[in-house]
Amino acid sequence: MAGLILKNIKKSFGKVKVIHDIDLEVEDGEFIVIVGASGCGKSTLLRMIAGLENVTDGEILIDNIKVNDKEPMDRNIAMVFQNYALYPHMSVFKNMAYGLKIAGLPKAEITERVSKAATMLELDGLLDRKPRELSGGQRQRVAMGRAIVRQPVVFLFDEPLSNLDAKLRIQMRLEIKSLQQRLGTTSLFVTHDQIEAMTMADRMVVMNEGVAEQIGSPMDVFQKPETVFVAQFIGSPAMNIIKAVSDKLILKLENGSSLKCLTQSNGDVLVGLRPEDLIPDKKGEIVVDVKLFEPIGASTILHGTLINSDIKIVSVVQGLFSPKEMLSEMSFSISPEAIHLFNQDTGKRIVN
Amino acid sequence: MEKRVYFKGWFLPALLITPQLLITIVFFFYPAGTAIWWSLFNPDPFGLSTKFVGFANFDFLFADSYYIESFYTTAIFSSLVTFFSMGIALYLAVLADRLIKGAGIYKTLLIWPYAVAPAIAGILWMFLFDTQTGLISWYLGLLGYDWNHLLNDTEAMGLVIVASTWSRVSYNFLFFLAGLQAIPRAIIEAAAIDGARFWRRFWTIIFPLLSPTTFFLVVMNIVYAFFDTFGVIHTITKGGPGQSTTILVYKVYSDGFVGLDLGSSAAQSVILLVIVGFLTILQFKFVEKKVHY
Amino acid sequence: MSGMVENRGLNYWLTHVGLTFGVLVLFFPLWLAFVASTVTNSEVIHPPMPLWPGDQFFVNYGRALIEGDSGQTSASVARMLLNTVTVAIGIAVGKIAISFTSAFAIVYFRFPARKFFFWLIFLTLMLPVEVRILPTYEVVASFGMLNTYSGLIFPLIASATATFLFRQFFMTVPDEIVEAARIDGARPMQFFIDILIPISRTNLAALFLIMFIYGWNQYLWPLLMTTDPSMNTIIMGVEQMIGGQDDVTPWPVVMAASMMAMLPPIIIVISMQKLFIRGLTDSDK
Repeated sequence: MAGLILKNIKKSFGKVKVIHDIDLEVEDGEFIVIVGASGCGKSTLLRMIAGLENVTDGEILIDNIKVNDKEPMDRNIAMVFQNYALYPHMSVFKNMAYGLKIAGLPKAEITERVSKAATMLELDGLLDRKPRELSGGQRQRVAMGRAIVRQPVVFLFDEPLSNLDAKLRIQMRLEIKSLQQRLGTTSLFVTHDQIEAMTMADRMVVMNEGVAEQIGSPMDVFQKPETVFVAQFIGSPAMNIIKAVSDKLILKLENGSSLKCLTQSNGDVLVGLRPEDLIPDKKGEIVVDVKLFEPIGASTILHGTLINSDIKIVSVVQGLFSPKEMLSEMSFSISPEAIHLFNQDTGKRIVN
Repeated sequence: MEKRVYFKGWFLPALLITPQLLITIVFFFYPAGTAIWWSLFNPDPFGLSTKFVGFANFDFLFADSYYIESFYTTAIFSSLVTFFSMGIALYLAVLADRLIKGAGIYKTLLIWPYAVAPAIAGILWMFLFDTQTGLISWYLGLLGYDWNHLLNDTEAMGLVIVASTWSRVSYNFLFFLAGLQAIPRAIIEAAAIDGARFWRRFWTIIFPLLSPTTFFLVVMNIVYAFFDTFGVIHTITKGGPGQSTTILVYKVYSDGFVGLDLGSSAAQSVILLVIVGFLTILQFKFVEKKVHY
Repeated sequence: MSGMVENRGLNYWLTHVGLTFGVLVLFFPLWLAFVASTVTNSEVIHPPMPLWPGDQFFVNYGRALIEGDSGQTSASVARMLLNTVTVAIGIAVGKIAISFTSAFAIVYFRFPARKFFFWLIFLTLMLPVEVRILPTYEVVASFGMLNTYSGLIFPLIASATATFLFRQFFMTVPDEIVEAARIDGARPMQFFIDILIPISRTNLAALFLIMFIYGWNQYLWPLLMTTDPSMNTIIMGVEQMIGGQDDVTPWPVVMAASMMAMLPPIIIVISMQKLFIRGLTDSDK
């Protein structure tokens, strides 16, 4: 049963088209992450679902009811904002209770719901404090508490972790995910951080300039990116995209090297090679003139160019190497299954 | 920048804005419009008859030597009050700004005159200079100077200027002090290290950086001198002797209310309206640039 | 503060001397008025007046409070203070009430001719009541509001300066809070009462102080439209206590009345200094 359905959603601000035709069916209890760069329209999409922006075309269905014309409060949704949007003059308790108070719930029930949420979020001792007396992480949790107590059909998160420091973010990611699994509420989470998306999502919507380029599980998106954009957006360091000419299963790179892959094609193509898929191999076809390396602990990132060319290429190798071993030529090979092929004009994945 | 969030509906906002609209229309626009209307007529004060005279009232005003004189009086009065009250305030603000501790106490001690109505300020100073019982006029008498602001034009003007200035210093002081304190210390210290001594620092760095505040205060003080000083003049000189302290706004009152020449008074109001309108535009064009709409 | 190393020694003392001198000059008239309010009539009439307070404090203040100048042209100070307090509160509350609500309407709703109303408000910004004084008198008279509190109050709250100020303030309230309220189910008036007013507390308080003092210190308008001495406000009432050339002005009583006229605003300004200054600098800029 689908908790949330988006059909042909389009949005324009005046003449400017911001969202182009998005279709999405979210299962009950699913955690969907909408990920993309700044300005790609992900927040706009979320706000349309919330009812804070009008839908120019298309339908939004929550619990199979069309909600396009409904006010936010009638849609049975709750939202966690990037800047928390806590009411500064109200205590934590009052902040969480406000929506319930307006809905007319009896006092006893309000107290019960708020206490339960507070315990879940470890806010027990803070109920009387005002937002300005709380840390960023605490405020974030109060914002979530406010959403939880309303027991909505859909949770909406608008980049809630962007204002937290790195360590706190990682911790909060896990907390949010486990909380959502406990509650089983359908959730939409917007972020620009692809790692966040990968770790939290049941399924991801990768957006680029108003278009949903791919919708799928993290595994699918990572292993079978459907466009060059998705291929380069997901995964760090980003996938290498190199021009080549293909002849059936043979790919000829600009510097003369040849690779064998598993997908048939003919003509100009784009070859996608993930840095971590390049295995050091003294007999490998991919020879790199290494210029720079970044030791990041258990592995090292190498930056260089393919020999006989200016094509930049990045690779990740396990282990720490000493400088002497590094700055020279290194040969890599890649398994044919790991090679991604994309159409040079449309950027779409080539499949047989 | 438009606020992008709003509530739906039109009935509620219409309801909410109605009280303000009503009161503003009835007690502001309607009287202002009436003033413009009257200025084109020769209304009889008892409302029995009116005669359309076009710009005759205005022509008459500009031919009236008393009115022209009132312009000069106002110009002199407002420039002197502005100059002195700003100058003294700036001096005190600079001094207070130099203090690390204790500025707060002086602030408290210097801010209270703002609370005193100009009319009361007039009474206080009139008491000091009262021709028979005033302390200062008595001491001047001892020195051989016979003070009588009821007869002497210059003395009358001087007294109202002093009272108006006294009343305004604290307002200017507050703004100047705030302006000075807003100047980043690092700039002043850099100048000091560069070898600039106090006066040089003041004229080349502090004063230029203070210019938005200064400009703002000049406009506000001129408006103050034009209108709020009515109380000072009415209590001390009533525009005399011989209209020598009759500033424009006082003339509106005396011609209209005392002299019952409604047409002339209305015309004078209109002229004042234009002057203030001009000042408002000036204010917003140059001072409020940072205000977003 | 630009307190610098050079400030020690002579400069330091000169600074204090300069400031103290300024303070003294400002206090001088106030001090003398106070002294005058505590001495007898004859001490004032025969200068030089003593520079130190006398013993007539209760006599003079009592007389001012209860008799005024014996009802000739003025009412008792007690009555005038009552009038002034009423008018000042009326102006402060009235102005804030109508402007806060209209600013709310202008900022948080989209209705046609919004821009028109904004400019309408803008027009009223710097035209003080003195400019429209006579026609306003006519209007008030035609409503039969002469010698009434409402007649004293309404024309003075007609300019939309406060609406403008509140509008500027509302623009600084984060959008997200309004959105969160909408999602929480708050209708516009609920948002207004539960969230907007509490957030605006400081602004409301500061503006109240400024308007109270503004209303208290009104002179020309009460002068014009009160012909009944029992409706006099204290500021104009004190002036009426000063006789013409023929009457002998009862200076000590007049000064006592002046002191009482000055004191409430002064006390407010000093005790709420921070709030008041903030209101001034916010509202006049």
